[in-house]
Amino acid sequence: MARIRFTYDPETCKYEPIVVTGKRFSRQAGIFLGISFAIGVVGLIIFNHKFPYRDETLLQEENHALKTEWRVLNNKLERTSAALANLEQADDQNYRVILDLEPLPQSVREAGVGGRVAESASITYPLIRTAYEKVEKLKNRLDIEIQSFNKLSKELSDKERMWASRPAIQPVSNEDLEHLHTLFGLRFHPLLGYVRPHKGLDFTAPKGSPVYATGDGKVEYAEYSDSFGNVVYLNHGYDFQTRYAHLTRFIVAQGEAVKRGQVIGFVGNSGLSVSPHLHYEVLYNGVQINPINFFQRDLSNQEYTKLIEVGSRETISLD
Amino acid sequence: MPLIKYYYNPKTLRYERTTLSVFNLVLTVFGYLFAGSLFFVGLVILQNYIVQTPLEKSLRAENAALALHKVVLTDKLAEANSQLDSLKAKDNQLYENLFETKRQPEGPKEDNKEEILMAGLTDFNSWTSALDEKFKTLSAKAQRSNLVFRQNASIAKADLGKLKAVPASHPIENFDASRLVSGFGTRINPFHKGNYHHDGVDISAARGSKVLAGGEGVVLMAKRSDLLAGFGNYVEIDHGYGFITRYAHLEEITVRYGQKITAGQVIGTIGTTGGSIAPHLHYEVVQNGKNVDPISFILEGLNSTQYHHLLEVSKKVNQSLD
Repeated sequence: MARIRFTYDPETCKYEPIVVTGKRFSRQAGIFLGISFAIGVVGLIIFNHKFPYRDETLLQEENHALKTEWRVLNNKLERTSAALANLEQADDQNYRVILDLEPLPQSVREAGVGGRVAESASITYPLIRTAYEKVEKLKNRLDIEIQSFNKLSKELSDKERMWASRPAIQPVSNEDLEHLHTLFGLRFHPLLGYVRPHKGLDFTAPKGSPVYATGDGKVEYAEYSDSFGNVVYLNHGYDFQTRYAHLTRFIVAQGEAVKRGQVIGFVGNSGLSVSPHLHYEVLYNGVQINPINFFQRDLSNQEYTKLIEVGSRETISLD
Repeated sequence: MPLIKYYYNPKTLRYERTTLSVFNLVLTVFGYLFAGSLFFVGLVILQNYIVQTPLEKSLRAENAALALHKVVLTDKLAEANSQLDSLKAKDNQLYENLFETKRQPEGPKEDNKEEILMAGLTDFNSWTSALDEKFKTLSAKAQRSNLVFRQNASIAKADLGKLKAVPASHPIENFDASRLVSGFGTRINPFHKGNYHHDGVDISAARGSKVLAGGEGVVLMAKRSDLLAGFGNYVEIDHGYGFITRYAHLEEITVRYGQKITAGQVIGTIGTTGGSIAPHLHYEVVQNGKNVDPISFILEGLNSTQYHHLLEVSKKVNQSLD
């Protein structure tokens, strides 16, 4: 029940009911809103004074979270860089030493670091810029290391080929071998009847015993000669040649590639020979050298068999 | 001009001035406060919406940059890591090709503890068996080192002079386990790839590095050879008491036959002469006419951890360099 309010009008000397006119109402409302607004403004000022600006807080939190992620990213970057440094060290101090290559100078490893910084130069935030610089440096180092490893691989495979070509095993198995004449140099020739240089080693073995290539190479000649009988000349490259003489027969043809351990012929008595044996020569730069240095006499039969099997297996797979 | 308000009291039949009741007062105050707080909230929202402080502005820009570049850099890092992985694979491949042996896996992982905690019963069994295995290798290791100790101890008992003759010095400068490429015993021959008995140890060093005498003695042989097989240029030193050391595949020899040598004296430089595939020193120790493992004698300047590591490395069956 709304109570009617009056006001005393001194002019009419009467109590007159207060009529809420639009003007009065709007004035009242204005006062109310004004005071409320003032309270709100005071509240805002106090709030701004007491508490940090809300957006700033949120952004600061976000910034903090992002920077933590960046720290993680930076740590990862450091780890990758350290792993790469390990590889670089292995490259320089192990592989390049063993493969007889000069270590890569530091200037080469850091080459081009100054050249591609354009991407990072425009960034003003040091955290981001240094990370970019680190990544770019890392990438350069990686590129160089990849090139270096490719070079190492190539060098190693070249060397592997060289090692595989070196005469390194006995041409006749110990199982067939009856006697190894270790005499190299001047000796009395049993058929010719005078002293002349003997430029190879004689492996006495039953007729028909297999003769193995002692290193990878190419057949230079496979022919019959009056003195050597059926003879095979292998060219191993890298200035090495081997010769296998007095064979009953050979089973390789001129120009054929052979693998170490591959059967190239069979022990015989052809040419100037008194009994079945293999005359084996090793030549370096066209000069005969003592073949005794180019195989191991104490190699076990089992190991020898293994080496020969490798040769025969690879021959089959190549055919 | 404040308006004085009256109301008509029917009991007293008079107009009376209105008084402000407590209830009305509270209501009014609440009204103001409520409206005020509405304004406050509105103002805060408006302020957030409109006003940008310099800090906010810079933070916003920085955050955007951080978020944007993080994605880019993460991609770049991932790319770098994948390149690194392929490089690692190449490294392993190179190692295997060079030494004809699998590389030992890298050190134990750190997360073992968590694995144990999370393991079930069957896993636990495998863990105990792994522990058992570890124990066995450890005791084998202990036995090996005991053997070495016994050998050296018996020397000490026999003759003190003999101890002096033992070639205990390092045959190269800055020798450590990483320089030892191939040990004594059955190894793979690099040329024919078959197993043979490697009568010494191969120590890798850059071409031209100094080769040092393993102990005091007299040069028994200083031989040069151009043959691409055998020892190449090599030096033999007699230390007395049945000890002889050999240094093979040298590039230069700086001593001559009969010369007296002190331990650690430079006798030549590292090379790859003779039947060698890489610059290295092939180092042999002969005791009473028999080749023995040089690692049993290279003790100088190594603590027991370093020595055990060296011993461990020397036991690895791989490809030798000659």
